[in-house]
Amino acid sequence: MTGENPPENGTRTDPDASAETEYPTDVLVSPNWVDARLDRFATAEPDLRLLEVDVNTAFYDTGHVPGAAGVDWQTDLRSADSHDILGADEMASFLGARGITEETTVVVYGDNSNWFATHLYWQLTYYGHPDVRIMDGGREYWMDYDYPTTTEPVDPPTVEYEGTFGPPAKPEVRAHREDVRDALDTETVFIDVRLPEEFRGDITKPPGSNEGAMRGGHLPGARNVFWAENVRPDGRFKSVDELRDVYESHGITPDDDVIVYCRIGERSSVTWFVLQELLGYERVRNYDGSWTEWGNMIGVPIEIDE
Amino acid sequence: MYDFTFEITYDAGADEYVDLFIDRESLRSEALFSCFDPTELWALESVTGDPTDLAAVDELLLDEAVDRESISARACNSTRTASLLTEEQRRRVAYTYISDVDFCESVPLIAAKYVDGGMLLEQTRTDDRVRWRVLVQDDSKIGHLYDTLSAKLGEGLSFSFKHLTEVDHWESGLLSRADIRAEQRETLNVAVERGYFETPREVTLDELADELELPRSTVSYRLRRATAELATRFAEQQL
Repeated sequence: MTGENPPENGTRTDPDASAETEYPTDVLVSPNWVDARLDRFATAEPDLRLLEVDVNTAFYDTGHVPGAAGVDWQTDLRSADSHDILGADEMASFLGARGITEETTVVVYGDNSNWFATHLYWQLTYYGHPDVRIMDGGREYWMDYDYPTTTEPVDPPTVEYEGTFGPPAKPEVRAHREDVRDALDTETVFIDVRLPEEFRGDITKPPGSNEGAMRGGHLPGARNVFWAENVRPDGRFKSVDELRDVYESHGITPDDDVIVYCRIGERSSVTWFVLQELLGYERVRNYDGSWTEWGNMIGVPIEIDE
Repeated sequence: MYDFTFEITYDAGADEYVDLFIDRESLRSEALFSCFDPTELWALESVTGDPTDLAAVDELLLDEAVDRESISARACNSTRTASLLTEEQRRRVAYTYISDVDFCESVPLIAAKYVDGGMLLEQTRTDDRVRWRVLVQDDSKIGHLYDTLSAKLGEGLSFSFKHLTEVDHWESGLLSRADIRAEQRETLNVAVERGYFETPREVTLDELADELELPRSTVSYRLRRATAELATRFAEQQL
């Protein structure tokens, strides 16, 4: 691990210290952990980098964690020549442009309890960047509890990312439409993390958005576990026991083969992160095509029910 | 202007203030909120109902410790001041000002994080339902708002999207007017003043006609038209 852990300065009182160290810091770090390293994210040394990626891309310019570079998911995280996540070479140049080498500890956070932060985390896991972590609570927790912020732009020096991402190191964290089709009528558990009204098919896209599907409903046999059930009211992840209860109450256990999905694969990344990284489920795949793909495809079954 | 309307339904016991409305059928509240940025919020709330039911509201309406705003399990961290502007037998109007917001997961303050330049919001409470109408100039952030609001809801609250449309009509109790013709208004005013609507009536239609120097049939017609118009308008506002 390249991001060694200097002692925290201990000046901030956390409103609820119970969640401080429950999860391993090589996947999830607390705001205090980040706060104690603020002077190290934007230096010439590429050991530590901090990225903010928000659903609402307007947030970054209104204030962000000092040292955090902004990532625009609409322009930075979409492949230039296909309707897809970044390609292997695109990912390497995306990281290099933010001063990230294969040795860098990358900490990611964002709005809506880390929707797109976990999506980027999932992409980096898929491609095989060795050390990526989420800041618990994301942007809102940081702002709500008055941690330091700045509006100064952050632009770390560009470096060459020496690692190679082709082929992806962990293809097993991603489900393609063929994988989903193959998993129909098997033991595989589908978790639909959207709102009940999206799951039922009452609405096919959020109001005011054009990111939708022709048909409403869900994958046959899918269970509806809303993504927000993963987080506390303050936006941080629930405790291990609480999270286990959430999934076990839906009959989903650590040895299940699980595919998660939502509308465009970002909310489901939160659930993927929880199951795979926080609870240690054995096999969890994120179907990033999600409902915008399945709900628009010809010749695939869907289910509409309560 | 766009109208983003949704409803939040509360289980009994989920919210102290909503519980009053669940337990007391006569209660109805309409409120207007204004918010320019996520640091402060103004609300004007009108609660109507039977006098005994309203008495139950009084205590919570002005108690500055009662959080009527948060939709999440996390109470607002802000300063709240409240004052009673109207106290009638069947109606209260309270003014609430929320300031010094560190965080407050209320619909207006969450919306203000997404919508630049401010907005107006209308809220209607009856029984276990709180209906919100968010009025914005531009609908580009409504999708974000939908995703964010629905994910903030605490235990026992559920979200239901109603519509997102360009505003083409307005039926608000707070902004309504008694829209009847001038001659009907005059007849109605005299009838109310003389006790025509008291039980038992303190004046007959003939006496009203004499006083107004109009034929009895004209007075009768104007009163019927005026009451029909007002009753219809009242019913429409309950939608």
